[in-house]
Amino acid sequence: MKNKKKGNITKRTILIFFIAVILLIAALSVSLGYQLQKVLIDKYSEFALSYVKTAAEFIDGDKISEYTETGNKDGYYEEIKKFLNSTANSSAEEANIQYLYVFIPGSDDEYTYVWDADSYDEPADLLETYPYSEGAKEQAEKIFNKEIAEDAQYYYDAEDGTPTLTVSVPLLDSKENVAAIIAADLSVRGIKSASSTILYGVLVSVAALLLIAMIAYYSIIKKWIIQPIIKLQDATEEIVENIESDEIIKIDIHTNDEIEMLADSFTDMNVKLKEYIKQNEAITAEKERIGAELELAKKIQADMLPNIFPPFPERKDFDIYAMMTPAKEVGGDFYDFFLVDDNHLAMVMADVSGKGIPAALFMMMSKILIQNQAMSGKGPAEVLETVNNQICSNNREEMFVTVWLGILDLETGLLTAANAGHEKPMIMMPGGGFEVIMDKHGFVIGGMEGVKYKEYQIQLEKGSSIFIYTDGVAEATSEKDELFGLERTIAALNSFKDGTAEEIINGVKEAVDAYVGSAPQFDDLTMLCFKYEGSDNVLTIDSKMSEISKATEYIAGKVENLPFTPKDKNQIEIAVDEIVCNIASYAYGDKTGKATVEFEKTEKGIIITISDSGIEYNPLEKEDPDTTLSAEERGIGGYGIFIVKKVMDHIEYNRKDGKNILKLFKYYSK
Amino acid sequence: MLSFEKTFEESKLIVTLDGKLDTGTTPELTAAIEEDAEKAESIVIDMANLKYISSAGLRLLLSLHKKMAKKGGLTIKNVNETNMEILDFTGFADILNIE
Repeated sequence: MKNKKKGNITKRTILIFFIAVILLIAALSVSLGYQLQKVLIDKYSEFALSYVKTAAEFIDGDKISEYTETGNKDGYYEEIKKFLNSTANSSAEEANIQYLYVFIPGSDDEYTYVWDADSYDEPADLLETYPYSEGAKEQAEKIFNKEIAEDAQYYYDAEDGTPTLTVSVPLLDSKENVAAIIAADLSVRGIKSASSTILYGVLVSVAALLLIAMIAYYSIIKKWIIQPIIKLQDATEEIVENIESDEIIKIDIHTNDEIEMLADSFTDMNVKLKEYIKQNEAITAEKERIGAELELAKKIQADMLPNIFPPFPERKDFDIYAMMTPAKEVGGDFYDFFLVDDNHLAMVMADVSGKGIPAALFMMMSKILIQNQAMSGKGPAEVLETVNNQICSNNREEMFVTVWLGILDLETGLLTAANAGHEKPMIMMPGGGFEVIMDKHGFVIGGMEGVKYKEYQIQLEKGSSIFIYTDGVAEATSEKDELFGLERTIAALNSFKDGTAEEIINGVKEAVDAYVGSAPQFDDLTMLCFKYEGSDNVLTIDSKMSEISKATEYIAGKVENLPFTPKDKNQIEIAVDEIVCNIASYAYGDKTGKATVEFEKTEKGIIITISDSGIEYNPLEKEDPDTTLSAEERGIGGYGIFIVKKVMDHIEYNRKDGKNILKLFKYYSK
Repeated sequence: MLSFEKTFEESKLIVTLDGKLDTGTTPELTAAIEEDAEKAESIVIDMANLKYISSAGLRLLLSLHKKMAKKGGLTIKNVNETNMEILDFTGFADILNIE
């Protein structure tokens, strides 16, 4: 987290200051230099003018014409020359006069010297002529013609490039006419060097002052801005590094300005950040806890359902497999199956309204209630009615569950079922394909108290299969937003119909997965497949004379290896023969019905239960034949039941669900 | 399952049974000996290998007994324990001629 950028504030501040100083000095030197030079030139001009004016008054103008006309020098001429020389020399210090001379403007571009006091080179002699410097002629003529009283001209000498100031005034004669012009040339180089000296002095002191100011300014910035900012930066880094500790980083800034306010804001932010992090940690911990609990809830839910396959490894008469894939962590779908007794298997498929934890809780309750009621031996409709009333009595959340409940008599293959608003079951009969059973739907459980459910029965045969499921199967949605549907479900079932229950379920699951593709699973996916292999201990036959031997042979096979005497075994066969014969003869009148022969071993012996759905007939109520009658007096029948009573140890008759059920008991002889 | 042999010793019809004489097999036997029973003077049924007899078998025996009563009669022989018990408690033992 180290900041790789370098602090640049100091550099930038100094650079900006430095540039400002340079610009300031440059501006200062230009303006100050110009002003200074102007003032100095004015001052020198004034000086020089006062000199030339004094000299003009001193010189007698009337003598000029005399000299120009004759060209002879006299005593006065020499006197004046001396005077001019001394004046030029004495003034050199103050006015820096180079040349002091008197001349008369000539014709053409020349002028004529009268006097020349030259302190530098060879002075010109009387009447010597020289060409004008540029612009000098016009000025000279203006003064000579009395157009101006005095003149100061600043120009560069065309010959040697020396900047020169020339002042000139008229020299008057006694008649107030201009006799000549007296002029002085001043070397401005001197003036310039004087002004430069002053300028340098000023600039150096200004630069020194600015340097001191800059250092002072820099140290102020450093102390009050840069250092606090660096502290702030360090503190921020420290905050980031210690983001997980409880320590509040103190920022030691007391500048009493915006930066201290910023530092205070940082501290506040740090405190708030810590609080937020703590809160967030608490929330995260809570989320983790809930996640762990959800996982546990999912396990408990899964453990509630029979999920070890095969569930009844010792049972060869049926094959069952089920699968539940919740869309969320815990789902509201459930399947269930359990043996009510050795001969009755209950199967449940249910779908609770809603999803997640509430649905899962409701599902647990429904599952337990249904199982409890079913285990008490009630029929499916009664179970659903009781559970519905139990749930309705305390269902403020108005949740509901759709349930299909089937109870199968494993011996006979007779399935009794009731449907509380659930998906229709699919059943496959041997040799056929899966078909939707158009069963009668009752209202959902939990919807309304006192609802009645209708039961229906389906006779399963060996090799029949049942497929029950929730809407997650048919409503599985593809990426194109199309439903899997019942037809695809049936097609998938039929392509695996000869497999085991597990293979059928896995086949449907794979078909659904392939159809859904990468679309998210929207609903729970729950399926159960039951394959009826048929009971070894039950034989179902048609009520025909020709079928009787099937029953006797079946029972003969069952008792073959049991510890009965040969006579007992024969008697058992006779009993079965008699009872089945009776059914074939009378139970269904002229029609043919079904008869079932169930075999059951007990500790003491065996029980053979023979049942039919024909007209009610209790053979035990039949009177025994009179065995004392003579042959002539005897009727042709009536001995069958009598023989059965005699050869069996105990007989029970029951009429239940429209069936004649006769139980024959035979015990092992001691 | 029932298999049977019928032989005539002069006018005496001897029927040897092997298997079960029950609802399934009795009609078959009844049909098979109906004509012979008319011709025969007397009938002997050998039950040595008959495993058991049911009420249908009893009815046949009663019917034959009644038919033969006017002629030389019906005799059953080699009755095993199972069959004897049934004949006993149905009272047939008292009626039939058992050797």
